[in-house]
Amino acid sequence: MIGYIARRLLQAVVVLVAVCALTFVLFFLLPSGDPAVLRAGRRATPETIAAIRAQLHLDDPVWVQFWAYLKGVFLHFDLGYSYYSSESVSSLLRSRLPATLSLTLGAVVLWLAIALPIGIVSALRRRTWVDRLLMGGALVAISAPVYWVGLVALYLFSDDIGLVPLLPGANRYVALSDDPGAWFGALLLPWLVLAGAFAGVYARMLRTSLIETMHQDFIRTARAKGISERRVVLRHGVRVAITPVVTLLGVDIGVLLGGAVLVETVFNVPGIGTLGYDSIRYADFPVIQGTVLLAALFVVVANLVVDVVYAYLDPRVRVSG
Amino acid sequence: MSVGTPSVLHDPFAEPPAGATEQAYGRSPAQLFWRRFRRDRVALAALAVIVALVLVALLAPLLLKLLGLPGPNVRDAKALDDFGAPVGPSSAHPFGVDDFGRDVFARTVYGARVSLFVGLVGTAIAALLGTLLGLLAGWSRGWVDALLVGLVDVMLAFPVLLLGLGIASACTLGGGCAGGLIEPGLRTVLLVVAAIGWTVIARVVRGQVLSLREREFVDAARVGGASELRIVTREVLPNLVPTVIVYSSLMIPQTILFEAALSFLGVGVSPSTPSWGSMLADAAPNFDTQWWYMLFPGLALLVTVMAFNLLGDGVQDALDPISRQ
Repeated sequence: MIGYIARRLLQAVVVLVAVCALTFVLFFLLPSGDPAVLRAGRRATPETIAAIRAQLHLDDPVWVQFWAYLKGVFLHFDLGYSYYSSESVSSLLRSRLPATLSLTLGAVVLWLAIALPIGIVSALRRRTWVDRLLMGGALVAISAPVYWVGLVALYLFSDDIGLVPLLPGANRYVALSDDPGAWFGALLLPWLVLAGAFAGVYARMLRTSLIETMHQDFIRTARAKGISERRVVLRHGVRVAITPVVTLLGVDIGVLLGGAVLVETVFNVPGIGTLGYDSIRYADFPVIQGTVLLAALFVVVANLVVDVVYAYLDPRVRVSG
Repeated sequence: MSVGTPSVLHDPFAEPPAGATEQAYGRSPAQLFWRRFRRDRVALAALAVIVALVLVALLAPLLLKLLGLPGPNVRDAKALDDFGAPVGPSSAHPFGVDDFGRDVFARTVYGARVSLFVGLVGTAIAALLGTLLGLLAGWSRGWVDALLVGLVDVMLAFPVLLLGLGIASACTLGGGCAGGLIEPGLRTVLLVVAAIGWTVIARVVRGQVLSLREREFVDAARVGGASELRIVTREVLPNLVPTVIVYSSLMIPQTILFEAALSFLGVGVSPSTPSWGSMLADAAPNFDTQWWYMLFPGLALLVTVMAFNLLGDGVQDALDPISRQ
């Protein structure tokens, strides 16, 4: 088991270094905005620009810059400084993380609360009108662009412009530590919008998986033992059928912690997603690099956790994986 | 709560599996596919919607002329009110006009062109690339395979939208990339879609090839003196077709949503080309007063993506009847 975890950890580090390298290649080989020009401001002399280039080490060969960056990240946890605001990238990320964390975790709770009952009911009442109605809803949820749903939701429900002002403070993010009530009010709409999209996917997935599971022999055995149908479904069926859902959940949480760009943009949530988006628009390379690395870290860790949990549950994985 | 009676739960066993009653001999896989697909009324309806959308996109100029509406970039100053604000739906402009007095209906109709083109062509490029790389990795194994699996892992760890934004803005700011081959606009969007979409297909194809190459018909072909190339193209590749079709058809709606998201964030097709994503981006600042500009492109996107999702489900069911059980 320890050997397996060590192997997976090593793989994770390799993936992270490769992500760093890919970001470097992407933003050095492709012509994006010149950070020195952007930093120098509008009426900069060529000398100023040259000085800034030297200061940012932009004239060093790519591999020298890359090596210096890797050393900074892995030895000193130093992600560099923003070209644009001169703030340190790690403090920028730290200031944005709470918003993304709040958005993600709230949405996860919500979408599981919506998707699990729908998936179970749909699977058990397969091909009835209840199933059709629920799966139709799930289809709409996975097909609607999330930023559009966000705009429509704001149009309908936000307290300043909405037709039916139900949800106070949407569009104005407040930190949890400042005012928990306002924090909840501001995030309720983004949570619902983000959760809707995922709930559709999860409900469909659990339905398929549960239908498959309910035809297995052990379900017949459980029924033959005379256990109540409710117990057969929840204790035997769902317990097995939920496996693929858990895998996907791990990956999705990892991806979302790296920033939900679209939802954060629509609802003005100052999270990792908007930070990454702005950094690309400003060609703020250290911030792009830091955001991408953090997002990749979350994905890699989420995968690692899922794999280790599986290895713990199923000994076969340890040997072959 | 009573959670279903055993008779409901046994429902799928009550009907014979698809294909059991029909004469399965002497029919090509394509015929078998069509026989199953055409029994799926939902999928047929989705297909009809998609055909209609394609026709609307192709015949957009004709359609607008028939309805007596202006083109998508015609600015009609008369459609703005005295304060220069756009006016909502009217008989002259059924979906209203935008800030410049451009007809929203015309722009929505033309927007179908971008969405469908990128959805179909972008997915096709990504599927082709993914199939080639997956085939190469699965067939050669060894370091080629290790390299590809590693690359897929890296790509999957990368935040997709940031990667897309990065490539797209680099190609847009610099006036093109890859030596002028990739111009800003449609080509850049296709590049981004292909660069990101190939991974899923490559991973699945690789897995299939790894198992197919151990099958007896491959040994038989080899004993019969077939060359490696012939085995790959004649024996292995045809067996990959159903998988690639299923995954591609499920990818089309994702690609359409991805293009719209890129355009929404301002790095999609060029601003003069109407696209649903960029229309929504234009509508976002004033969505509270100009609801029509936000509503119609979004609805168009929703209907299109839904139709492709339903079609994908139908294709999957028809090609893989066992997984329905």
